[in-house]
Amino acid sequence: MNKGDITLARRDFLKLTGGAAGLSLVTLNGCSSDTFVAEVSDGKADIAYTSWEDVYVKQWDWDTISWGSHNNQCLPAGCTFRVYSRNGLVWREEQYANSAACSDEYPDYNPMGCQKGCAFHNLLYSEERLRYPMKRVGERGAGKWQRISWDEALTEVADAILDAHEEIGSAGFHVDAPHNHGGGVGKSGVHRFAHQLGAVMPETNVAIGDDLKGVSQVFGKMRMGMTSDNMFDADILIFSNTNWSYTVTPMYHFITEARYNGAEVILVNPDYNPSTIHADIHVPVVAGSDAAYWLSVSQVMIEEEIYDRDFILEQTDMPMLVRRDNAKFLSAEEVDGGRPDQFYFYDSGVGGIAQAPRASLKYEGKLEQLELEGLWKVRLADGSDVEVETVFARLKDMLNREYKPELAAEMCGTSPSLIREVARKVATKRTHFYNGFSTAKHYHGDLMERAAILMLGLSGNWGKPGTGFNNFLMMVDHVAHITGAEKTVAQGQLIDNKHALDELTKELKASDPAVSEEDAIIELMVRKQLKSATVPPAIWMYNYAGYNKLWDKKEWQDPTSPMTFGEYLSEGLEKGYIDPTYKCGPETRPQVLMYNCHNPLRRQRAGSQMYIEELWPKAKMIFYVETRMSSSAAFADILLPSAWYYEKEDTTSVFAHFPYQAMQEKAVNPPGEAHTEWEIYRDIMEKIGERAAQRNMKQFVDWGGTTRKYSDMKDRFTINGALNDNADVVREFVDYNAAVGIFPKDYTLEKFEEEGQVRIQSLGTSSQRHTQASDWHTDKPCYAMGWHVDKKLPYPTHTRRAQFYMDHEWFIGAGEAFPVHKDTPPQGGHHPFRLVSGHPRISVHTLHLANPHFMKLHRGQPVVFLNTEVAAEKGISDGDQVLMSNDYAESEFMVSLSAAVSRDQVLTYMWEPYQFKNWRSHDALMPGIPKPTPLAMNYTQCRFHIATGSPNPASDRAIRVDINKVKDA
Amino acid sequence: MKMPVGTVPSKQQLMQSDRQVATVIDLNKCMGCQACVVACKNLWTEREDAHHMRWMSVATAPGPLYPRDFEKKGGGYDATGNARPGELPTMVDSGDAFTFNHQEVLYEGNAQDKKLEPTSALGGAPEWGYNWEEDQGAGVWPNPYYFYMPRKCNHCSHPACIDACSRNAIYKRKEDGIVLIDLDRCEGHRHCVAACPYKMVFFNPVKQKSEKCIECFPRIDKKIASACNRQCPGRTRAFGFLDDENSLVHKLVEKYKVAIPLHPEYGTTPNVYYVPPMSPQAFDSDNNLTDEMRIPDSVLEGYFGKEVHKVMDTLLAERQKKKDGGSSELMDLLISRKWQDRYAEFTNHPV
Repeated sequence: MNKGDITLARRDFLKLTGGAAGLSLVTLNGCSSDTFVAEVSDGKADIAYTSWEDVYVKQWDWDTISWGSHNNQCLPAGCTFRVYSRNGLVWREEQYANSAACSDEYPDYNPMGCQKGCAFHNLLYSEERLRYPMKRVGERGAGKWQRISWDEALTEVADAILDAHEEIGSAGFHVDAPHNHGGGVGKSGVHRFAHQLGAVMPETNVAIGDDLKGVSQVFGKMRMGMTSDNMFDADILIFSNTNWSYTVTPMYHFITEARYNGAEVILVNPDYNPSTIHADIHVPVVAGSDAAYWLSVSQVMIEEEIYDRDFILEQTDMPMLVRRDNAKFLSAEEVDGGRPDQFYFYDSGVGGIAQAPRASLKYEGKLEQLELEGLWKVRLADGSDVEVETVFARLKDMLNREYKPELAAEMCGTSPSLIREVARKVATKRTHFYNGFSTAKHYHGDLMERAAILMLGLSGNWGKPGTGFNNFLMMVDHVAHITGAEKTVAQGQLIDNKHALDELTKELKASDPAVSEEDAIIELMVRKQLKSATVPPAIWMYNYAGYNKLWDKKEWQDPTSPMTFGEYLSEGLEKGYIDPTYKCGPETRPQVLMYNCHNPLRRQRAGSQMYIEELWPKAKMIFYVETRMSSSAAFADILLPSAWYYEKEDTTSVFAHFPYQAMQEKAVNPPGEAHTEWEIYRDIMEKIGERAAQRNMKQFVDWGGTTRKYSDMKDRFTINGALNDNADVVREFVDYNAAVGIFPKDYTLEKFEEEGQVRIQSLGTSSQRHTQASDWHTDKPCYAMGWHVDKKLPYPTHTRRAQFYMDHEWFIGAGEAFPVHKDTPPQGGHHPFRLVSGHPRISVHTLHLANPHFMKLHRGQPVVFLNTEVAAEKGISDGDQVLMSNDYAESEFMVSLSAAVSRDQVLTYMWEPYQFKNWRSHDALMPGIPKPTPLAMNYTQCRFHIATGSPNPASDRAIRVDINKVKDA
Repeated sequence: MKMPVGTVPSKQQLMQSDRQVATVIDLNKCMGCQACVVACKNLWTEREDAHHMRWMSVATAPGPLYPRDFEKKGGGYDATGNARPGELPTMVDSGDAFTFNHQEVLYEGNAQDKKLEPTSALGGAPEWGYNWEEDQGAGVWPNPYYFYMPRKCNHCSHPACIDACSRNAIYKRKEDGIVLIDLDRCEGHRHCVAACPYKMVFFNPVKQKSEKCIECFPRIDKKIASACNRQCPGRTRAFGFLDDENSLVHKLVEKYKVAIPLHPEYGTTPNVYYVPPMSPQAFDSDNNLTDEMRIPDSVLEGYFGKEVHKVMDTLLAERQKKKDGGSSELMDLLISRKWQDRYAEFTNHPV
């Protein structure tokens, strides 16, 4: 047929289409006009293509445009959006897309913003949205509510807090690990609120299992990272325990573009996760066995002598001397009565031991004369002789014995060739390593991290462009400022801060001249933590939420661990490893619980059992400040509805992957009677003052021991009205950031409102600057640890070095002085499959999970991925209902069959518990036993301070479960 | 498009355009995030009568894609140019339009007895839905493979939908070749739905008319790129006039020829082009790495035709130049350090 004969073709189509209309919905009103057709046939009407375009053009319309963003829906978060509103409601949002690159050589950041941000407004008006203060009717969790007034709600909450003060003290009120998806103002507000009331707070970052213990154990700090364009300077990009396509969506293009630019991408992960499709090499380690893999890579580097000798001599503890008798570092205290934290090298140039410098990494003698291997005798001050060897010699011995590729392959499941190939690449090429948060949720994740950093250290792969062990550079100093400020910036708070730091530095230097700025800041934070009522979440859960019943179960223990969690806890308190402030005893038990941006039935392992059965019955009052009815909010006594993004002034917290901070305007009012979090906290403070006066209560003593007057609460919270609402707080954020150099000098709120976003100029003056320890650039990419490598600044560790040998008796006793591979303990019993998990694509945290708009982007219900061949063997078909079970609990899912999970694996992401039968998600199967060695909180790099230290009560990766088809009811 | 009164346009006239805009989608960057899908949906089809329509869709390939099994539902033309019979996708093939039961789960006093679950628009539990095969993939462990397939109306140069329409309601815009359905003329016969081999026309059962991607023409008329193209965070998209030699679409499609159509054998000359996906190194039976990529040649050829092999050779060779420390204009173009360079003259912001 001739294509030009179009009339014929049309008739052919008419003949060929069956006419069977698959769509069977009822027509509500006919839009077609019989008259028009008749008139056309008669030649009377104009065949004009006219007014229908207006239907679409009118859809593309709005009243107002505002700046918008979303707070911690993901990492990096902070994408600048334009928000379009009509008739007082948000219609849609779209990326601003105007974030320039650091220079023409690198990709720019545009457009920023992902599917979650691009459809966020759907959450504002959803059925989950809380609009009015509510009080439960019937039992907790019954699902019946009555609307009450704000005054009634605030009065109930204030009275409950005052009752707790009377019956227990200020510590009777607990704020359970709030997260920051409420926004910068909300986050700083809840911390300020809790702190000023002396409320006990389990540390959030540790509670959620995002504290990378191994990283702190090596570097003495955990929060270091890079701008995404740093990847363009790398030859090798390694991604481990992470899934950027799901969780770092707007920055994913830097990976694919670096790949086009010639970099090689290596994905180390048990499953073929969605980010692997654009990699060059998948390293399919058995879940939880990464330590074996990296230790073997390290073994190959040492055996083939392709490691960076000068780097490890200078930057790490490799040349330091360890006593063979007690496995501890040789110290000056035993050699000549000097400092207990003065350690030694062996310098063949001087023919004996030499002190390892403490104030600087620069060795006064000749670096090349330091021995990496050897065995020597040393005479101690008491006349005895001890044998010493280098850390490196001990390491090499262990690696050769246990981690040669042929042996390690048995543990990690890869081929030996895949170990050797990666070792040779990393040793000879600039390697950028991104470590995701999954390691922190592996029981032995600390060992996995330490082993990975070891191979980077051996190859000299940090502190230089295109390198680094990267994760967590997050700028929240403006939030920390608001949390603790007694004065505004204008009133001189920063001068007080500097004074406090200067005084502390003087005090510390008096006993140790080698103390660095970084050491002083960390010590300041350690001391602040003690006064802040922030406690180790694992201890809190063990004592208050009944987790002692799970975590000490003999059959679930790590077989290599000498003691149970409870035994470590007792010994730690006894020996002073744990400050008694943190013991979480009955005298500081929770009588009132507050939740803000926390969904424990989802987030806490075994939360749906332990929180419902053990913790919550202890509380006389549970109240939530929340935007939505989460599974956990359903168990509240009182719900206080809060405003969401676009409904309040705010600004974002910056993750360095994207070095811009975004302005958030109030585009529309929140629905119903929702208030901003800041208003809610302020109003509770006011009500507390009012009710205390009525109850003749005058004052209380806070956690730090200071007496506080109830009548002062509101004024203290608002700094006498200077911080009355969100707009005030955002102005203060801007003033703070401008004053410390994070924003350009003299930057103002007005400028921020005009420009919508501002590039980060520096890391300011507090701790983040030191964890990153590098010059900050706006005209080239940023990477971490430059100051240690270039300026030879010491690390804030026991040895002043990147430390791979942990000589605390608990680490030695557990066989973990060096990182080693250990199998994941059988929490929940022995079962055939390893459960792996992570953040979902459409929601990173719980916010979007149960929203219809987002649920219609997939099957709309929880799914677990099972290997296709294994499913066939078990008689399971795609779409079947399956039961995931272990000794502890069970959970029902729909199954999705996939080639991308291995035979021993099942994979699911996060879900909202009320999407499951009986509201039991897979989180119910996870006892979450925390690895206890981080209770060694006396060891320099294990101290408890901001976002780090103390055990993660969140170990769930690679626990063992079974999967079987659900029998038909 | 206004015609003099009493004249009936020929199909040739309806299909004619002076210029043609095109979209390129780089599958080496698409991470299946669905941002393009929500961009389109929130702009045009988030309404009661259009929940089942995904003018922009992303599915996991290999798989039935979207609408379900469209590749088996005919339409388009055969090798000699004859029209092929086509089937209408059902509501379920179109991905269904789930509703949910928040009220009874959260507010009706049911404690934990009710769970939140989807109900099909046809009632009952869903049998299938949009993106049902998300991340499943193909192959056998340890060599699974998959990639994402974003699809939208191709605004073809020889659209089967225009050919099939009994009301002459579909036409291409002269100035840019965007294919539009005149909703005043359309009477919902659905010959276009069946005739499109890509099944990118959708029936609106409430209006009783067919609707499809309009290439965001209210934005295009203001030199703002289509929403799906502009809002993609993966920077997979290029958009512009094919004949504009300075545009990225021209360079990728005409100059370097690394962007090719999906199912060219359907005969409609589509104007959405794909850069086909490279994939990770495959393992041999001893779990050692080989130099082979995961996605079989036959799978790529099944989607893109024989032309795909030349494209893969070009991509690999140019990337190797960069790996060896050299330069490559093609690699720089695919990167597009300046994001705006991807959109030719359509770089206005939507204000």
